Amino acid sequence: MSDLPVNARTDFRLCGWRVRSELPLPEELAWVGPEQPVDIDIRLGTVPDALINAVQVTPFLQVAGSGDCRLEVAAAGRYLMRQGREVIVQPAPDATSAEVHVFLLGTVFGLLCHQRGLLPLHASCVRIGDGAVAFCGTSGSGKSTMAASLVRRGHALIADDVTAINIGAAGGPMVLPAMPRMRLWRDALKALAVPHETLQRDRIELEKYALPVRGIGQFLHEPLPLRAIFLLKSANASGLEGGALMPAMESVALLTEQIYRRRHAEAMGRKPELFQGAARIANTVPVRRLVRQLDLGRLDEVAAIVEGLVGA
Amino acid sequence: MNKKDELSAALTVVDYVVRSEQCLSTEVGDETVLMSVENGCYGGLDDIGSDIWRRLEKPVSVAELCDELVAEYAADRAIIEADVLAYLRSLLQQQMIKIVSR
Repeated sequence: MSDLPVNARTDFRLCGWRVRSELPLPEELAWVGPEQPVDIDIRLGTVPDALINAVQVTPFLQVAGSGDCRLEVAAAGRYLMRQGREVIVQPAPDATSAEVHVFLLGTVFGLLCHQRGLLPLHASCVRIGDGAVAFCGTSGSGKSTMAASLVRRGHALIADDVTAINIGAAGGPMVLPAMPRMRLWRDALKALAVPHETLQRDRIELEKYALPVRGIGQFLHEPLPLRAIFLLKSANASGLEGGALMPAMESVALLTEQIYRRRHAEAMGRKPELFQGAARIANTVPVRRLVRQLDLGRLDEVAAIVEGLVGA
Repeated sequence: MNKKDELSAALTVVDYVVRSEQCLSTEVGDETVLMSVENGCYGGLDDIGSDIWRRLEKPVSVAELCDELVAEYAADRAIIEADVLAYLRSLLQQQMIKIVSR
């Protein structure tokens, strides 16, 4: 373990949870809220070689009958997630802090959402007007770029890449704010006039950089009702399909497909719950398809269409 | 013909049918959306399809189901029976419903 700093336990805020962690999380997430019980405890420790009574979902992940998960990545280490309340991290001998964090803030975060009964969508999310608008799509469809161009236009970021949704909230699905940073491709940063030289480079996708979102009002710390979902598709032609509403069945199928770490969650027995969750979203908010050319010179034009459709 | 096709072709008005536990269903707007747990396939039902689906929560005979629909929609029995059999056969083929003994 080369550069891995170990903290005295420090409290952080993530999705409204109080997270107590021995591993430092982004400093902007320091807990400032009222005194309340700790929701999730992240500790260094020993993770067993295998879980008892478990299914091997992928070469990296095991899910036990209890819903506990064990993730192992050679370069980073082992992670054990229990009951959505406890994470034990056993870093690989020469793992760097960045490598350990990539999985902690990605897959581990997504699995904690599943264990806690949330629905995490593979989506980026911003506040437009008084509600949250999420952008789904396959990798490379421009979710983060879309969100970044809206943040530049004055809308606050809520989540990048993984959008945690509380489906059962009383007033309809609520989005819980995640981390104040975005991962963007170098050419997208260039189009947004953000210099990349000082930013931290992604460990896996080397042309991606982590952009902290620190400006006043640029990140939203409070939960917000979900108002709309856009499925992003890129087209080669210059044509722009301005956000047609999707039929019910397609919406539910699409939303189910866009659930973050869906196969892992299905192994936890969440299949019926996730299907009902996707239907609840489709029943509550419009799900639109937005097909556009990935032309970085036209980001503002597309952002204006989104604002128009949402009614901002 | 494979086994599934034989089974669905053999469906008659005296058979009892019920939703399969392999099928998840939910209502979105006026439509019913079905999903097969086994293969992840989706299906959508229109308003009349959804109405029939609601009546398949507990085992029901095809004849009884047709009686209810003739009363509800005031349509010709022969037409209803043919349509319902065709509809149920397609649901059977996709394993969204199953035939049960009564």
